[in-house]
Amino acid sequence: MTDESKPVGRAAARAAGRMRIVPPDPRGIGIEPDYRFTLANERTFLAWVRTALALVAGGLASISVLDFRGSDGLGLLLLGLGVATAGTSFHRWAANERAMRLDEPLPASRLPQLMAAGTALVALVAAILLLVNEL
Amino acid sequence: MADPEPGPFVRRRTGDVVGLQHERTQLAWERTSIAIMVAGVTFTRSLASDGHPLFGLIGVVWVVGGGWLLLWAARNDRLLHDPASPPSAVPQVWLTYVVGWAVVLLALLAFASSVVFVVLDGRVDLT
Repeated sequence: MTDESKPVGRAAARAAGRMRIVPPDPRGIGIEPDYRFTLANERTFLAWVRTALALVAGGLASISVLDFRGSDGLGLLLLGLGVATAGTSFHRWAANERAMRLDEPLPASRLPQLMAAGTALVALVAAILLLVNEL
Repeated sequence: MADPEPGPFVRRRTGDVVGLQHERTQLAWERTSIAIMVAGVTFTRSLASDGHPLFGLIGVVWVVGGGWLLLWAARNDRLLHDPASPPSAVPQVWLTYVVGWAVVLLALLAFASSVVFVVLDGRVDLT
């Protein structure tokens, strides 16, 4: 028997704060989880942060150092991917921390798909630009 | 007689050695601080060279911030090896929140600045 008073789907996610663009501060919500889970969540977030910083640095370097046709566009693409990675990873960290504190299942994340698609797109664009500049 | 309270490096029944968890987290913070400093240097080198000293200042702030984070990680590493320090004191949720916001803002600033510079330099014609 389902509880009709509880929201489902996107309404449930919104109610849980996971749909907000600015992730709410997870501190002070629910019960302090096992510190090992918090540390694991922290390490995962820091790994994504390093990835975002590498993309930002690569984008800036592409714009300022590289000098072939389309290098600025490639740099902006890398920067955009860095922004998306930083924002999504931060959101994911806050959502995971909140879920652990409320003893809820961890929310699904599109970050791995974003990274895979974004990296593939950057590689494709870079290959095309190199070919165009060679011709 | 009850068993004494296990210290931070005692292997528990699950096989998880608590001390290694903390060490991995500390290493993650140290790697992140180095990445922040590199990003700051790249930010300064790329955007300040176009004659905008404000971006150089922002980049320097990032390098200094990354250096502070590295020193904090080293100091925190000393604390977590203290037998009197409880394992639950190691997670720094407030710092994670601060670093998250800082990285998002830096990425946004780098993206917006680069778009402006690329347009102003005439490399992209909006007309």
